[in-house]
Amino acid sequence: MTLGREDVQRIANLARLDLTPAEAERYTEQLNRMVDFCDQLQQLDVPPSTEWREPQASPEAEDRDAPCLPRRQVLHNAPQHHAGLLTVPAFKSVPKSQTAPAHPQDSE
Amino acid sequence: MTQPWRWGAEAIVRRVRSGEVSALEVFESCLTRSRELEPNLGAYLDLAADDGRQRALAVDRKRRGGERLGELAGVPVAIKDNISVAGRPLTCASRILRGFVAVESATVVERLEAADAVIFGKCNLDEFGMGSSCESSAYQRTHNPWLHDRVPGGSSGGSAAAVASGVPVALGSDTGGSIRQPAAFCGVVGIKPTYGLVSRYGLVAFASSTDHIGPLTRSVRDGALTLGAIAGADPRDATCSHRPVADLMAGLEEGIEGIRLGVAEELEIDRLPADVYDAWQRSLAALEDLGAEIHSVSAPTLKAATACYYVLCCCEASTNLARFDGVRYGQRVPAETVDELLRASRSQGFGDEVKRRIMLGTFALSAGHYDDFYGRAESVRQALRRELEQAFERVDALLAPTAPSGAFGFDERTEDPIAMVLSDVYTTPASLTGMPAISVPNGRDAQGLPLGLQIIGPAFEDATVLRIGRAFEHQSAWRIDPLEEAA
Repeated sequence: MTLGREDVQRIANLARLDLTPAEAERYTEQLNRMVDFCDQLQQLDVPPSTEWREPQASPEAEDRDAPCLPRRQVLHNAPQHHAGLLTVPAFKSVPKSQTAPAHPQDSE
Repeated sequence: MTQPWRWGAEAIVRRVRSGEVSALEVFESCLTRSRELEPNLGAYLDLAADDGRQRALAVDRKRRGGERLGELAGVPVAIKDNISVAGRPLTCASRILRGFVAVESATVVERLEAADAVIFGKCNLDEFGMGSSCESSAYQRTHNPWLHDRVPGGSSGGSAAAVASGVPVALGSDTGGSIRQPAAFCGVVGIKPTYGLVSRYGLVAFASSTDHIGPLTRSVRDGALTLGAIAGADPRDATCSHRPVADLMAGLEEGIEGIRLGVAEELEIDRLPADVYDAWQRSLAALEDLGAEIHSVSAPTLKAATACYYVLCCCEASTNLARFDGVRYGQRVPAETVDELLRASRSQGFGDEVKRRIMLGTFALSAGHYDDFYGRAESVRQALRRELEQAFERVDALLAPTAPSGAFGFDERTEDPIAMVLSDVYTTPASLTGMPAISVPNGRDAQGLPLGLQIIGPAFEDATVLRIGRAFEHQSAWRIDPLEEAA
């Protein structure tokens, strides 16, 4: 099978990646070679997979309360946070009259 | 007295316990040596000088206080930078994790510290472990200590270069050969334990069904010592086995008289380049001299192992790396909408190799292709496991070269993803099946660069693999000293 530029754009879109035109061209060529290489799996005569079998069985862990990392520590690596919460741009536009007053960036 | 940076882990432990040398002296010696070489090697993304000194001082205080020291007392251990060390950067050699500081330590790091080891620094790698040369690191190249215009192998290339030059032990991770291949390229020992023997809690996931953590050392004995310290059940990793861990040092010197070793016909060893083939032939003869029997075995699916690995690892990478979205941690590219933020952060944060693998995985998991690629690869993996398990009814372990060549040059394979992944042709079978495997130096290529012999055993027969490796290594003619000849 051969992947065209539009197939590669569709795959990139699914993977949430934006490609420059140069990347799209390079990846189209490289992905086709990778798919060709992996196509050899179709030639093998093997029975279909039944279930994933772990090399060893581990007992299930008991459900127990345990302390988790403190919020401050977790937010330490967050690119942007406010009032103990992660912040992102608005998901959808809200009429101005309904917006909350702006808060200064939490500097924690 | 020789300089402590030349000592192996066992020698350091003995001398630190006896008080002949302090843990701080060992640490300072390794630090001075590594800092001298670093401008030419680029093995580290972070050197933990102050933390390391404090830790070494604590080990020394413990000894003076009469407390019993752990099995890695005073041993400096470098850590691949996809394994968390609390308070230290954790970048996975990716732009998307620039500035990330780990909030807790991986289980393996906690165990090293409980054994009184001293964490030395964080080693360079291929971005997220994807590559076989360290060239996909977003930060720097790591040079092979033996010949600086050659790659150190990958993805644990920084760990291998560190052990071949200035520290006795490093931890790496191995998904398709990422401990064994760089160990071979740098003339050191690399161990990929059985899947489930060592906890992966705190390892940044790439392909969870084949990600392993293991040691790189200058001897099999030091590898067994380190593996023993980090192995065992972990309630924080559900894939970690609850079997009791055997004493890996106990049978190491028992020799291999009468042991049955298999070579799979499908490896097509006679097609290897002449220098690699010669080293291979000499290795078989040496093992026979030690009393081993060499048998031919067959596992037809071996020929497709690398393609199978490539499909599965890319599928798993595409889902594992979905977590890097610029929202909760890592680099964020400001944007007007959440979708734009996510796309821009990922597109600017990931490098070429990572994007290629995410896209191949996304394609192989997408509607209409799942059965042909992911489903098919999973079937091939199961067939391969059955074939190897059958082979292990006839032999105690399998042999293979670690890689089809010695270290290659920079930029030789970066534009050809297939050529790059073919460096892993002999290592992927043990990755896919979770079986234990070790790479031990076994000679040199035509340029005088180290080569590796790989020994693969049945699941949880790590001790057998180590015993064979130890017997082979003990043949002094096969030893190569990276500290004398490299760096």
